[in-house]
Amino acid sequence: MRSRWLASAAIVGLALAVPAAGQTSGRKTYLDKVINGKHMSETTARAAAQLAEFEQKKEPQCLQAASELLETIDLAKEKDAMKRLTLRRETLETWLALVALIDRNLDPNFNPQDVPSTGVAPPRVGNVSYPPGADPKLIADPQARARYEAALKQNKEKAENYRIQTWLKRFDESLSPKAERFVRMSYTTVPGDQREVNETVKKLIKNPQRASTLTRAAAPKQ
Amino acid sequence: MPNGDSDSSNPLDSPDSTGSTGGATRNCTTCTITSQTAVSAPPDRARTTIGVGEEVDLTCSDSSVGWSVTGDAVLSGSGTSATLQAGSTAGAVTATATGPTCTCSISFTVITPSNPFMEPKNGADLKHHNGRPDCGYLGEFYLQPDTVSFKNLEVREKNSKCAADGFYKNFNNTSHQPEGQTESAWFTMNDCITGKGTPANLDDTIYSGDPGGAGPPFEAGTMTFPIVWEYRVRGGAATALNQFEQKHVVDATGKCTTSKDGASASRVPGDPDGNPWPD
Repeated sequence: MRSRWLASAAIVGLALAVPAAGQTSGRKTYLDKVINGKHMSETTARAAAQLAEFEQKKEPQCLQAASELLETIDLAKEKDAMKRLTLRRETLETWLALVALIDRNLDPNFNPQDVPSTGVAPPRVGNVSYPPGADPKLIADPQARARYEAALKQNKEKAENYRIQTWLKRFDESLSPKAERFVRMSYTTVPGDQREVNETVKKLIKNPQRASTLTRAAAPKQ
Repeated sequence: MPNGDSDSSNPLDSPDSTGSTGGATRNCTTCTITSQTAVSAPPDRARTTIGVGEEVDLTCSDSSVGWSVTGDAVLSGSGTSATLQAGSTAGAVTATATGPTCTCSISFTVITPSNPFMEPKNGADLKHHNGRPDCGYLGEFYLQPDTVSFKNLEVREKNSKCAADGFYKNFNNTSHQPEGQTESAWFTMNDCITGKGTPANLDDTIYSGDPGGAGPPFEAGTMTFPIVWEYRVRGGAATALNQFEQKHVVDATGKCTTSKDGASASRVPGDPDGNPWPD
């Protein structure tokens, strides 16, 4: 089955190189290859492009857009058996790339209670305080102005990070079960299917808990 | 609790097709779609009035259906379940499930946020310096009404400049955010709170400032910022909410009153120091 699968990949001209499990090819990781490489399926290619955009811009909505694209894939509608196998593998890889990106960017120390502020109050100099958000150039004292500029920068970064982490946390909760569902619904207990899931998980998933959950989703039920 | 509409107009639902055994058709005169909001606040999860951006999980009683949607919404899923997310505009949205024997649909009314609601953060000090006519507080920002969830929205505050006179005349035309910045960062929202609305994940730093000078007595004065907040859905285009005011008033005794969208706090010079944020 494995050899037939590899042959089918060649037949459909799959351009995605498959390094051995756990290895990287050159400086690119397998994750990089999934999100930046070629896909047979236009839908997985578009989903991968959303993941690449997330990596570039750190815009969390890209992850949701990728998920929605992947959810439109209906393997049963692909009548060509070889193409269906390729589509299934590409969909699996893209789902796993999505959750791998969540894992890579999710901060385990993120504290949702530590909310950002809309603005920063300028330092008080003598008994003069400008209202929060006032332009730094109004602060005559250079040290106070520098402190204020640093606080403004820090607040902006905190707000941006809070936003990203909030969405990542929500998407981890809402999108991860969808990835698991795809594995559970699309792979059988035959050894070839099990091998494909296990090897893809090994290549893409660094988080041991995540890897265990995903491989369990495909594993024969006790 | 089923709250969907059913439709037996599919030809396969005709009496001739029911009761067949062992064939490709199944007994089906109706199918239903049940819905449950993705978030548990507000508590009525079967409601069909939802906020812009809100998600609803749908389940069809028929098996192996195809889903479609009309109106401003995104629908994803397959088989018996799907998730609908309302878009950014108010109006009607209808999800339809088409199965082998049945077609059924469910409609939602999507509403936009009405007005923001602000209040001082519970348990936080009021900002004040003993002996000075200054005052402020950390504000909390909510989107109303509280009958739907706006958790999937993001909000931001636009920059503006104040009109100030009297005690605050030196602050006249001061910007609410640094010059060149047109608006704040985007802030995420949290779970809806009954009686208040959907809160933003932020502390709004609301403060009069203090232009200095001797007193009492103090020169009476007023400083007013026009305030506009915007919201967006799924990183889309920004929509402005109704404008309101952030106002700071000092009277001759030095009593300072700060208000923003109805929330208000006052301090007199003799009140003790308060530092919800450091100087």
